[in-house]
Order: sequence, then C-alpha cells, then structure tokens
Amino acid sequence: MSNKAVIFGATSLIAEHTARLLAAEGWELVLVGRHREALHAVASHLRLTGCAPIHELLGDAVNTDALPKLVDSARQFLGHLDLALIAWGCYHPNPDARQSREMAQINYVASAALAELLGRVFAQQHSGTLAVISSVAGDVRRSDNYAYGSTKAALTAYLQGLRQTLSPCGVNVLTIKPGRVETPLTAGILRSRFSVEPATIAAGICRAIQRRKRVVYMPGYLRAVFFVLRSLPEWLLKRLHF
Amino acid sequence: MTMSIQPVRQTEIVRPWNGWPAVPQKTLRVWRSTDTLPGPLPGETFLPFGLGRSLSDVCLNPDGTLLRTPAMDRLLAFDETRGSLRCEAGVTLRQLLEFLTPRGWFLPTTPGTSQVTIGGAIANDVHGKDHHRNGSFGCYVTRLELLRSDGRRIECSPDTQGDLFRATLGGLGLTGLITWAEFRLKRMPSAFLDVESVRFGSLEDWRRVAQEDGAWEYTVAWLDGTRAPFPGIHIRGNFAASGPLGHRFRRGAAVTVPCDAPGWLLQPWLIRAFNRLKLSGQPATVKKSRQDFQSFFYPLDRIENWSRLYGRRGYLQYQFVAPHEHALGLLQRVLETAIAVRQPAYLVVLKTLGPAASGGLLSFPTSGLTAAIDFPNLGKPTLDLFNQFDDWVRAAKGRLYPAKDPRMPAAMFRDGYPSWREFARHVDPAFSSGFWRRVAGSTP
Repeated sequence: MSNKAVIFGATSLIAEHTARLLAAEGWELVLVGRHREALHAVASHLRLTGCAPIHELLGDAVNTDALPKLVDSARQFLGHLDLALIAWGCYHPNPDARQSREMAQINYVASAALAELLGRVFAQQHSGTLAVISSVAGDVRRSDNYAYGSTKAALTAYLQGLRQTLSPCGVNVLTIKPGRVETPLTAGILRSRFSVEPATIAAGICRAIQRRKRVVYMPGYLRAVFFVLRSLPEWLLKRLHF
Repeated sequence: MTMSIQPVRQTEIVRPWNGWPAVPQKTLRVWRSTDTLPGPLPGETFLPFGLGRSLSDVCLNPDGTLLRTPAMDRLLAFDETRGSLRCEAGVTLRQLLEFLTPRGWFLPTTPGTSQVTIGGAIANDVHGKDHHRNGSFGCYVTRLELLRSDGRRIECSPDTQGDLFRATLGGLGLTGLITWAEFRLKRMPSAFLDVESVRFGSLEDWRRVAQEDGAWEYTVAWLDGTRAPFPGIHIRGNFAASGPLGHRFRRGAAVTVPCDAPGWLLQPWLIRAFNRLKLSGQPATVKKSRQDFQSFFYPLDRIENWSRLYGRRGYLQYQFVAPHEHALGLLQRVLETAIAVRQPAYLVVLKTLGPAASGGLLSFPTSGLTAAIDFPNLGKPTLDLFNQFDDWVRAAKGRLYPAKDPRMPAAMFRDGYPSWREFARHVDPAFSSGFWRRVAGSTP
C-alpha cells in the first residue's frame, strides 16, 4: 500500500516541491489550493512525473468553518492518512489593519484550527505525521516583520502544545521554520544574500518527516543563529538593529 | 491568479553566457504560467530571461526589467500516442530529457546544451546537429500561449494567430511572455548513438567528407582555427536501432568552474597545444564508437560555467550563415585574417543547415553553411576584426545570429533579416531588449 498525504496550500512553492519529492517516491496525494488553474498545473506535473494518484481539492484558509468539510473530503479520497502538510501562509511587509487580520487568519487561526482537526484524525489512527510550515520570524520579531512574525510565533506555540498532546498517541508534530526562501510570498521585499530555493527546503522537509523530527530550522545553521538571538536581552537586540 | 502585492524589482548584475556585456539589471521572477504580469512602471519594459545561455544582449534589457522564468517549470500534458508534450516555458531541456528518454521519446531537435529553457529555445528558434534534415526547434511547435503586457493571453498556432505565432518563433522574447508551449517529439529507439568521427586535413577535405553525410542524422564539424589549412574532426551520429533506453542520466556537471579565471589563462599557444592534442587523439581517419546521448549532444554540459575560463571579459562568438557557394571561401578568409592579426579563433564549429524553415520572421537558420567562431574578448581589437568580417559576410549574402552577437550593427541586422519591419509590428509595446533597441533603433 502506498503512503498517503494531504497538502494544504499545495500551490505554495515549498509545498509543491515537497509534493514532487513525495510523488516521485510513489505517495498518493490530495492537493488543497484555492486557485483552480494554478492547482491544476501543479497536479498535472505531479501526475506526469509520479506514479500514484494525485487528487485536486479546492479550498482556502479564509473560511475556518469550511475546514472540517475539507478534511473529510481529503479523507474520502485517501482513507488512511500518513502525512498532512500545512503550507499556506500570507505575508505583508507593512500591513494595514485588513492585511494584519488576513495574516492572523491564514497563518494562525486557520492553520491552528486545521492542525487540531488533523491531530484528531491522526490520534484516532494512532499514527501519522502532521507537518506545519511556520517561520524563523516567529522566534525573534524584527522591526520590519513583527506583524507576520507574531502570527507565526502564535502558530509555533500552538504546535508545541499540540505535539505534547499527540505524542502519547504515536503522532508526530513537525514544526518547520524556514529562513528567507525565494517564493512569491517574499516577492514584495528585497532579496537577501541568505535566500534559499524552495526545492532545498522541500528536501529538508522530507528528511525531517522521515526522521520524525519535532522542530527543524532551514537551513540548519539558523537553529544556532536564532538560539543566540533568542538569548540576547532586548536592549542589545535593539542596538543591533536586527 | 493575481499578485496581491506589487513585487519588488531586484537589482543584480546579469551577464549573458559569454560574460560580456555585464550590466546591472532589474529583475522579477515569474512563478507560474497562470500568473498575471505585474503592471509595468512608467516607461518600464520587460524581457523574459530563462537561463541566460545566449551570447549577446538579446537576453539583456539594461534600462528595463528581466522576467526570470525558470520557476515556471511544470510539465502540463504528455500525449504518448501522438508524441506531443505541453509544458511551461521555464522547463529546461535537461528536465525534459530526464522525463522523456526513459519513455522512449526525445526532443524533436536539440541545441548543443541542455541548459536552456523551452521559452528560450523558441525565442531563438534554436537549431542542432540535425538541422540539415529536421529543421529548427520552431518547426515542431504546435501551440503556445503569449501573455502580453496589456494582460491578454493569446493562444497562437500556425493556424490561429499565425502571424503572431511566426513572429514569436525566433522572436527574441519581444512579442510577449511565452507562458507555455506544446511541441511534437521524436521517437528514440535507444539512449545510445552510433558515432563516426572522420579526421580531415583542410576545409576542402572537409567538404568532401561532408558530402558523404547522406545516411547520418546528426552531423557537426570541429576544426583547429589556429593554423591553416584548418584540420579538424567531422562527427556524425545516428541513434542506435535498438538498445537500452536508460543510461545513468547525469543531472549535474562533473566539474564546476567556481569563478572567473584570470584573463591571461587562455593563451593562443595553449589553445594550439590543446587542438594538436585533440587531433592527435585520433590518429586514424575514421573512428567508430557508441556514446550515450548526453555525451554526444551535450559534451560541454559536463563542465558547469565553462565560459568563466575566458576570464572577466569573457569571449565573443562570430556566427554567420552563408549560402554554400560562398561559405567556405568566406570562412577561410575569416580564419586566415584572424591568424594574420594575431587573434586566432579558439574554437570553430561548422554545421550544414538544410532548407526546412520554421517560418519564424527572425529565425537565423537558412539553407547553407554556418560557422560559429569563438574569440577571447580583447575589447576594441576584437570588435574591429568583427566589423571587418561583417563586410565579407554581407558580400557573401550571409547573415549573423542575433543570439550570438552583442555588437551587430543595425544595418547588418536589417540587411540579414528583411522581415524585421513586419516583425516589429508584433513586438509588445512594453517589451524590449538591449539588442532590439540597438538594431531597431527608435522604430517601434
């Protein structure tokens, strides 16, 4: 029997590249996305290059109430679930009130609600991995991204608690904390020298899933960087203009 | 799918593959074929940019913005019975080969590197070792979608929007952004080719050898341009009639040149020694071998960034095509002059082009003989030498390859491509390139 996964926010480039690696290994996938045509392009590529069935499911993170139905539909396609990846996200560099609310809704409210739903499914099965893309921006907020960072901080905190709840049932919760990745999400800000490609992150995600990691930083050296930054007193951080 | 935020134009130094000219460029990435273009800023022009393998400013837009396409890398449809494939324009030939060859299919025709995108292959209407038989890449394109700066998506094929379609084949990315394309494929009986390499002693000698090419699908000649009478090796191959479809597919290069080599590294004596070594490597007149398709078609893909060996100033390639009756005389004159002014050609490749044409208004290939001649870029002396060649090429009724030429004078272009005015009518008003502004001037 092939492995089965559902990916929320499947048109995100990190999710898409993760799906390519999974499909190449024969995973059967349900892809959830909100743009029909973009989702279809992603799925078409996976169908041609992979070998197991690929299902498309329209849905978005704006409507929290519709999430249970979305999870049910995914389960109808797959039956058993081995992996769920939550990859949707939203970023506004200098948000107004509406944009802040959108970020909070997508990055925290919908992601946490969905994690809870999926957590229950996995707990019933007594197996599976719930992988969620958070961000290093949740570790330390910077002057230019604290609105985004705080939503990711909340998500990271939520996942930490969920992990404790689910680990006795044999369910792994994986928190993924990428640094700057070259994707449409960050198209609104200047590229940094430290940017990495989504395919690199995807490879790391697959490794982390296989090894049942709890929290991964990508690239790996960021774990040390953010350990130091978190330990610094706030007055020093302010001085560093970080 | 609309972009919710106005994307930021990044600024970076972009160089074409030959390393010159290097210009600071604004760039934007295009992520998927379903995206819309960002609204151009006042006076801003766009130019699609794939892997930047052209050797000229056809891939640069110094005052405008490059649209980087490699993230558009999705295969969309594959019809195994008809042998046709539809994919996004940023898909590379290497990516396609990895998908196609285990299934017994091959590219309809291929240039000498697999590190180009489909969009680039169409925009330059590239040709390969089989042009004398099979024509250029554009001959196999059945459909494509153009995204214009006014937001329109136009599906073109030889039958619908045929004029725009023909302008887009070899259209240097100026008719809009190609988002996806559909093209015919070729059956591949085996991943290996039977290859014959024939040594020749002079250009005359080469002509005799090439006359026996009848049974060979893929042919190309390499010659030593550093000494008359220009000995060399003529290589020809056919796919083996049967054999394994799989071979150990090489995704990456074996060696990488990490940075620009010092400018003095490639000296004429070193090239002469290398050429002699290469010729003496084949003492017999005819050598037969069997090679996998990657070794045969893409030998230079084994070395990542090999053009950095030429140093910071890079190299310049002079590639012309001329009718058979004048071509060899022209080539002889060019190479001899280069030796006389102590700027011998470092690499010379000869290829017979056939009569099959894609119909592209600015397509380079036309029936005759084409020679691609590499020179290290010494600045003005090299450019002066090229200007001298220009007159001879025009006298021989030849023309130059836009994708290889960062200095072609406007008059040379307009003479070689008389359809350029018709082409100009199809250029998207918000698309432009360094090359286009140079050769077309202010003419819209």
